[in-house]
Amino acid sequence: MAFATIDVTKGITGVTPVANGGTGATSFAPGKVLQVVEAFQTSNNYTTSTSYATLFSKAITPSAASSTILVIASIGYNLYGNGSSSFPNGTIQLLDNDDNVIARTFANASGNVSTDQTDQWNSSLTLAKLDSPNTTSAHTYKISYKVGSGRFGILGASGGSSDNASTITLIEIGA
Amino acid sequence: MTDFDKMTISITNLQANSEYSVEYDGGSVDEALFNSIDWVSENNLTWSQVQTEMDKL
Repeated sequence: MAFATIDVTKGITGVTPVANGGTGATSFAPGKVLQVVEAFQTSNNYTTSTSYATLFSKAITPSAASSTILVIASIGYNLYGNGSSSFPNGTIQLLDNDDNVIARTFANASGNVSTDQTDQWNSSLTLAKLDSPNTTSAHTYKISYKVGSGRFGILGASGGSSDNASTITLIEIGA
Repeated sequence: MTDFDKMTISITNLQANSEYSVEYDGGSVDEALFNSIDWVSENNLTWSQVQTEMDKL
């Protein structure tokens, strides 16, 4: 028997029960993730400076002032004794659009084994913050870094690949 | 120890407490790289001096 064509824009009501393969839901709320943007560090940068310097950033324009922004930064780093430090260390900060510090993390090496203070450490750290910028204007988040002792490097894309680069990801969450 | 490591150690040996940042992606360690250093503290070193110190390491 041939089926007649059903116009789904008209006259279809009711809920398909879960037992019959339906969802049981009568309606759905809109999705909460409204947009995702990402940037990555394009080069390896090293510092011996004890003053913060901004390395890379990413802007997002919230679609509603009531949205929150989940900021996730994954930072690959290198610590080196540089012939002068047995305990090289550095600090990484996440800044908001007005350069307020909204997250901070520390990279510390456990001590040089070599007597000439030339050991290397490569590892990664993650910063995360749920921010409420309360704006629909472009809002920029930045990564800055400084050394505490020795030499501190932030690792970027190697050979043009972003696969192992330090990244910052901004996720707009609807209210 | 890489040539890049030798360069930064040499700078420390010759000019203690030097503060700077530098971008390095694995290319040549040469005068062009040295000249690209973004100095935060005052620098009085030349590439020639650094190169001589690097040869000792």
